[in-house]
Amino acid sequence: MATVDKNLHHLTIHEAGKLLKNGELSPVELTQAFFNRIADTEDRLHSFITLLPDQAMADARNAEAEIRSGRYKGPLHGIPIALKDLYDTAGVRTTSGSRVDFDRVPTADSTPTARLKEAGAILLGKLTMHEFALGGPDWTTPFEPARNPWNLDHITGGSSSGSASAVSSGQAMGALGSCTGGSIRGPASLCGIVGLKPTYGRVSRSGVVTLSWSQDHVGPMTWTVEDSAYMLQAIAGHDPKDPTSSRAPVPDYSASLREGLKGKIIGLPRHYFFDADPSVNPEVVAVVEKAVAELESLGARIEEVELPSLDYVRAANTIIMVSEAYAFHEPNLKTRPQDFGEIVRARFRIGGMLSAADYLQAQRCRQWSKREFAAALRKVDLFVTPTMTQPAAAFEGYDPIDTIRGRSFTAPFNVTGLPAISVPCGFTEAGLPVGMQIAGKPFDEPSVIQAAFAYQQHARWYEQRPNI
Amino acid sequence: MAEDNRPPISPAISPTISPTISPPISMEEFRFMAGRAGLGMDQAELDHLKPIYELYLQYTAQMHSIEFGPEEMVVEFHPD
Repeated sequence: MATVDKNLHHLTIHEAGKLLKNGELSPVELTQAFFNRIADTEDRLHSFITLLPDQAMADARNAEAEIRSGRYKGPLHGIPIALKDLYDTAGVRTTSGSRVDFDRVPTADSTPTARLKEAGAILLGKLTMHEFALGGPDWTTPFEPARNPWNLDHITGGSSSGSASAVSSGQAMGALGSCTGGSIRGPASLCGIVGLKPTYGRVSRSGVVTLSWSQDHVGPMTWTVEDSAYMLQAIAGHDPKDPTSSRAPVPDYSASLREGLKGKIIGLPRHYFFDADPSVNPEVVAVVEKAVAELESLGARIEEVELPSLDYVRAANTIIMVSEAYAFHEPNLKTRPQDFGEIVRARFRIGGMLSAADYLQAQRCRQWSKREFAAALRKVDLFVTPTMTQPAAAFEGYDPIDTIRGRSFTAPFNVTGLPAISVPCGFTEAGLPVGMQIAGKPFDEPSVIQAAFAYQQHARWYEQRPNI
Repeated sequence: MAEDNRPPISPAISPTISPTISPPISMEEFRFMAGRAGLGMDQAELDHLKPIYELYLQYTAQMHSIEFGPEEMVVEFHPD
C-alpha cells in the first residue's frame, strides 16, 4: 500500500474544495484528472457502468466559470462524484445493474441527483452495483462485478459495489450508495472508506429505484468523514415527492465536526457483535476491539448494553426486504423472469411465496427492536460495533447465498432506521480493510459524524491508500 | 436495560439460525406454493429455489417463535 501523495485523484473533497474556492485548482483540471485515473484503472476495477465524459467536462467548464465570477456554491462545487446506477439521471441510462432496465433512460433526475447537481458537483458516471441492490456478485447479470482495490481477487461487498471501488481507488471523490441491509456501510468497510447511512426519512428516496420502501436509505460514500458530512449536507432535507421524507430541520453537519468524544457514553452490545459466533471472523472483532479502546482514550465512556431483539432483527430485515421487493418487481418477475440474474430472481421469487403473516410478524419484530433501541438510547449516546462480520471474501469459491446465513451487523440499523456510519479502523493480517460502525439517535447524525471524525483524526487510517 | 419492554420469546426456539430448526417442506408443497404465487417455474427452477426457500423458512420460523401478545402493529399515517 502507498501513503497519500498529492495526485489530484487522491485529494479529499475538503482539500480540493479549498483549492477550488481559492482558484488554485480548476474544476476542469480536476475532472480531467479523474477521467485519467479511471482510464488507468477501470479495466481492473469495473467500477462504472456508464461514463459521462462529455457531460462532465461541460459541467466542469461551467463550474469553473461560476467560481471565477464569484458564484461559488459551497464545498461540492466542482467536485467529481459518481452515482450508484439506481439513481435516476435525466437523459442518462439507469440500469440498476440489471438486464431488466438495460435500456431505461429516465426523463427526470432523482432528488439526490438533482440536489448534488444544485450543489455544483460534477457527475463522472454511473456505478456498478449488485442487481436491484440485492445479493451478488452475480455473473449472470450483464455487468462485470466491481473488484476490491485492496486486492483485486476479492469482492467489494455490496450492493453499492462500484461506489466503494471507485472511491477507494481514487476514481471519484465521493459517491452515493443506497442501503437496505448494509449496502453503504458494508462495501465501505470492505474497501477501506467511509459510508454513512442517515436516519430513515433524512434523505429523499424519490427517483431512487426501490428494493424495500420501508428500509431503503440513501447516503454518501467518501474517503473521509468530513467529506461524507459535505455530501449529506447537500442531499438532506424534506422532499414532498417522498412520502416518508422527514420535515426535521437539517443541521450544519460540518460545523460541529471537532466537538470530540469527551463525555459521550457509547453503548457496546457485546453479546451480538463481539462474542464468538461461527459467522463472525475473530480477527475483525479484535481489530474493532482495539479501536473501541481508542474511543475510550479519546474521552468516551464505554458501557455494555443488552439488546435481545438483535438475534431476531436480521430475520425481520430479510423478510421485509424480499416481501416488499416482490411487490415492486412482481410484473417483471412474471412476464420476463429470464431478464433477472439468478440470485435476485431467486430471492425476489421467495418474496412472493412468503405469507402476509410472515411479513406482519417481521414488522412487529421491527417495532419491538425500535422500542428496545430507543430505550437503550436514553442511557447511551451512541452504539459502536464492527461493521461487518468478515473481511472481503475472495471471488474464488464465494457463494452469495451464504450472505443469507449468519449474523448481520448492519441490518439492525436499517430495521430501526437509526443513523450509522462505517469508518476504517485497521487491517487484517492479509491487508484487507476493517470498518467500525458507529450508530446514534434518530436524526442525530451530528453526534455520529463527530465520533467518527474524532476517531479518524486520531487513528489516521485515511493516510493509507490501496496500491492500484 | 430495555427488559421491561421485551415481549416474551418462546424458549424452545434458538435465537440463532441453525439447520436443526429448519422446518421440512416437500417438493409437492413447494410446487403448490410457487403455483399459488403465479411464478410459473419449471422443475429445474423449483429444484434450484427450494433449498434457498428453506433458508428463508428458518427466518420465518424465528419470527413466528416470538409471542407479541395483544400488542398492535403501529401503522403510521400522515394526512398531509
